Amino acid sequence: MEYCIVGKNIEKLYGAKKVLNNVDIHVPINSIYGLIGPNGAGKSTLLKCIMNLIHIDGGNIKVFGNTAGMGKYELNRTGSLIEYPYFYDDLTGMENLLIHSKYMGYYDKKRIDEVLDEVDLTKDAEKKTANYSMGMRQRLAIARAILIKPELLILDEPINALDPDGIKKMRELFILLNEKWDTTIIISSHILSEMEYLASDIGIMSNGKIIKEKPLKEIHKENKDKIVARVDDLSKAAIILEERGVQDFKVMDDGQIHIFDLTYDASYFAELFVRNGLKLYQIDIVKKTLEEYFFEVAGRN
Amino acid sequence: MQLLIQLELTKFKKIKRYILYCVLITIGMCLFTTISLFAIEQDRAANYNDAIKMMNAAIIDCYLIFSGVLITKVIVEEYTKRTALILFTYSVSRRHLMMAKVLLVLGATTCFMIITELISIIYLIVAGSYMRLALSRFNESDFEYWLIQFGWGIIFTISFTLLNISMAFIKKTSQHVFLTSLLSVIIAQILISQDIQKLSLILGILFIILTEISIRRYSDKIE
Repeated sequence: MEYCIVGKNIEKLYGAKKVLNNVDIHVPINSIYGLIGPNGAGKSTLLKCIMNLIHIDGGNIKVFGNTAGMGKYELNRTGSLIEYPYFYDDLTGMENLLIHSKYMGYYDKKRIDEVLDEVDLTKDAEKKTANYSMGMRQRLAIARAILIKPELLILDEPINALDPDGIKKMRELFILLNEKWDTTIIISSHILSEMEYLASDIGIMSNGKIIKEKPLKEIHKENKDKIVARVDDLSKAAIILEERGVQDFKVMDDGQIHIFDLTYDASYFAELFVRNGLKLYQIDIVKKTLEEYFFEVAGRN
Repeated sequence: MQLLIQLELTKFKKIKRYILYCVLITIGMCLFTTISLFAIEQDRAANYNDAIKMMNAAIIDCYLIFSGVLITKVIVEEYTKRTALILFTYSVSRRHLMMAKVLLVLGATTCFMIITELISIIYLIVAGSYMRLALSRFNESDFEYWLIQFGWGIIFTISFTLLNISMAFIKKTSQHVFLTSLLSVIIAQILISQDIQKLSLILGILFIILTEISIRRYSDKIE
């Protein structure tokens, strides 16, 4: 597999504290890589290290095949939103984008209008960013990041302050960028449900380490589904299952029984319970979410 | 570099405010000159040297404070408001980005200071002859004396502005910049009163080296 970013044994120390501890990261080219983890896991620090905004204390990062990491050439192909949507607040949204385009050597007024339209900020473009709401700042920062049609887009918690409609629009925009321009996107977030919609690959971070890195498809494959049944007598249901040789199940406190052994389908268990005189209120096949997978992996580590 | 300086100026929308500071300093200097002329009158000084020296020292003090304000806006705020995080994602040498800021601060401070110096000396010549406060008229030797003081004043202000810039890169706080400005004012008064302005040349060289080191070692530290 071809990778856009490969990091090996990345270490970052703040004083005596190891914020990144031998992190290995592999971001496949043209992927949407979701970097998930709790607050303080080291996601933003890792992204800053990739962007060469802070120096690493150990390991190495290869970007676009360049073993020296993020250099001038790579920066010219990269858009980013790191930490928080910072702007020159004395200037308007439009002026901020104009300055950015000049620094990037990509002055194209038409493209600026285009990105402002894509993030729904055309009518607020002449307002000072000091008067922008958090959601507007976030959208303007995304506009700035995609302005140069980057090959690599690094976004640190880009959807935190957005409303549901804004989140949906940004999701569609990121997918469009990825599909239309083959932009590789790294998104850090702790909104796991959103990552499930968006990402093609997942990296789980905890305590300064990437503890799992996998394509989402594989996670789904690996994530066993379960049958959830609600009956009137849980202990009797457990005895019935044991008698039938079903071992992989769990009786829950909320009156449910979770069956992980999927040798039989839901209709088999429904018939089994009813035939044995149990009242069956509900039976469902439940898919395990990324959130459950995350807690499982994080819990193990 | 020219483009980088232009971009720095673009960020700097409130430039009018700094022009106003320059105007206020200049008006203040004219008033100060008037007062000092009356002091000279009491001593019936033979020439304008004391008035020039006092005027020049006051202009240096004002512009050391002025450069501190400018440094806070152009350099320190880039770190405190975290916009340096954006600046460092550009494929432009970080050293060049910082050099553009240094040149802007030095250029603006020097230009405004020259304007104030010129207006103040013209005012001194006109007001001095009109009030006839010194024993003699403002002559060539007075002008030469002003020229020397003016030259040293510029070197002095540039030197200590560089010290202030270094502090901005190292500490990245407006408090440190402000304290360094005040310290520079005190040192300025001592050197001028002792007539050892030449020392500012040596200090200037040291502060150029310090600025270079601070840019290389500290300017891109933003964690």
